[in-house]
Amino acid sequence: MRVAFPYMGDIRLILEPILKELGAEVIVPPEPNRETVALGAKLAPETMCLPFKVTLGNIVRALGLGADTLVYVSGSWSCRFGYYGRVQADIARDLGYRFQMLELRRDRMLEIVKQVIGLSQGRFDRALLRTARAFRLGWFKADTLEKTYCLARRTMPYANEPSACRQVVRDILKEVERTDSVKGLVRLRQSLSQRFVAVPKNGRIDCLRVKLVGESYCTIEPFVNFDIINRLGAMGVLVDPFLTGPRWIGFHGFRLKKGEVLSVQRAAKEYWRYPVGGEDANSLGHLILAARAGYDGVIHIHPFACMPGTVVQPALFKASQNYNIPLLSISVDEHTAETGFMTRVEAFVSLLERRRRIGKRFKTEV
Amino acid sequence: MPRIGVARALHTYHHFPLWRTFFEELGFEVVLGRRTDKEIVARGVELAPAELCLPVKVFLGQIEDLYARVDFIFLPRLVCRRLQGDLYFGCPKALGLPDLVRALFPETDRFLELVIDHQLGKDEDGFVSCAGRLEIRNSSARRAFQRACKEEKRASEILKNGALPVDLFEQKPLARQLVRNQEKPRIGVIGHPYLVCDEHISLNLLKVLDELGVVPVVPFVTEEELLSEAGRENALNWFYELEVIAGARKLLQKKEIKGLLLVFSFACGTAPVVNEIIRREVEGNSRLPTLSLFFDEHSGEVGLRTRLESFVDLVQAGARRK
Repeated sequence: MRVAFPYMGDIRLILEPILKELGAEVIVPPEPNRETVALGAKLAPETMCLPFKVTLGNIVRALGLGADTLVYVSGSWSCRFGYYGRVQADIARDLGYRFQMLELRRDRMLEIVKQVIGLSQGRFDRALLRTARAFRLGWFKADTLEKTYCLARRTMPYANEPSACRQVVRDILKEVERTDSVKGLVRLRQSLSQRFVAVPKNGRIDCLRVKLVGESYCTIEPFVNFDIINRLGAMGVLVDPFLTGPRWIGFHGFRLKKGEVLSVQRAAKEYWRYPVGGEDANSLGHLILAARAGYDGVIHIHPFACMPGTVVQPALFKASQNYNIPLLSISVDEHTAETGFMTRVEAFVSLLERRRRIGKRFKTEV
Repeated sequence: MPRIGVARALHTYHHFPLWRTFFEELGFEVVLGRRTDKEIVARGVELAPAELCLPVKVFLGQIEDLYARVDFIFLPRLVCRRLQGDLYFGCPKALGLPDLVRALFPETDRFLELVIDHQLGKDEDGFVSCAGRLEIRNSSARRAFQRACKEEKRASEILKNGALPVDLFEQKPLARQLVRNQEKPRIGVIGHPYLVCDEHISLNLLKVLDELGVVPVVPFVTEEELLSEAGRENALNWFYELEVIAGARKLLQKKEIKGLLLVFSFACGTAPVVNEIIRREVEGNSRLPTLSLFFDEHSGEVGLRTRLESFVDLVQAGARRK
């Protein structure tokens, strides 16, 4: 079984070892680039959202490399995300590819279990053991990654040379990919903070803090959001995304800082009573929590014509007004140019800087 | 008598007889928004974020127009329905509609929200709790709902005989005379009724087709047809889009149409998925000429007419060849 899945930030580093441990072969498509998007945009329905196009380009390239099984999260809910698998599979079949679909949805779980057992030559006990081992490894990888990103975000604005900080991250990611034992990962995790402390500092003592919210793919995939976290980090702005790759695939779902999920929901309730998908309620809740926590601003990124992303916009703006926190909402699609995007972000940052300078006149009314 | 304003937009085209009867039985006056015109669209466009689809913008424009004239404004939140054991959802915009409106208008206690969510309870429970907000006893709300259901059945009979959902907005709906002219080719028009039947935003599409010498056929999907569509393998899990696809399938099976017109609004999120599915269905079956039209607030009638003329030419040429 040669499995492929689309890129989404660095979740590859977590999913790949899990699938390998389960006994499958993993086909890794080339990292998303202009070509991937062009391919996806050509094949996809015109007004489909950007994540669909990027992931479609990803999987078509993976099928070209010989993948024969696609794994999808799929299901029935309101947002288009639930239909990605079905429509993409149809498109890929039209191109002449033959493959098997594994849909991760509630009513098809049995199929997945059967597949996993099949990978262990039909022996249930062995499959169970392998699954446990795979997820344990995945967990430690996710944990190491999450910690790395967190430290990198916090080091970047204070680093003398942002490129030095980036190099440290690159090195660590390589090591995470190489390390295949839990013991090794634990050792790596212990060394993390030392490595970031060793990065030469520029002597800054305070920096602007920005919360990044929005649709999950746009928040996580650096190719789509033009690597906004690192770019702003290099400019001396600390960007905290509300969601990261390891969290998205669930590995931090069950240990999100105590009560975070609940407090986000409670905060969003005032403006948004029914979560409809696309992380709308989470974006809103995190915006409010960010305002309370004293962040300087919020950046909201969503794909053009994203249904939940656009319908929640007025509520986001109202909350940003009521909580007195600046909000920049940007939609991206395959035509978004990096320069235009960064110009808007930079203008927003200078607004935040000015606001902080004369900040005392603006009282936060909460 | 307190007045309840209902926007002439979105799902009102699906459920108006039910809603009107329900509130009238409870002793309210139901005020339907006026016909969509330039001003209403302009107001909606001004209020809404640019990326929303045109029907939602019209909805917002309608609400602003009604706002000063009524005591309550009716905001439906159509979350999901259970058909054959599976849940079928509204689109995210329909789910978030009341919150969207609340974020845009200053006074929020005049909004009357109806929640249809079969995860929580049946349609009836949604209506009862909606009436509860108007301080109406459960028993009378239930009675009103029964009457409203009867009225909806009657309305669907009228629709079955060829009336369009807009005709039900009149107090005494007239059954439209179906033109049974065999010589004129018939063209199926598929799309949400709130777009196809709104004369202003669809730029009089149906009338233009009529003028060009073809008969537009707007399918009506009965309850049974909807259920059988829901029973299909890999059916879409959007309730109102299910209806659109069932309509398309019905027309394709009947084999009396010579062309298919797919009408969507730009930035409608469900459109690309629905379009893809119907296109595949057409290619697999009959290879009918198909034209997809996307409408937004910038659509011009001349552009529409040009495209329709060439489409009608194509259809007529095909009919002659056979």
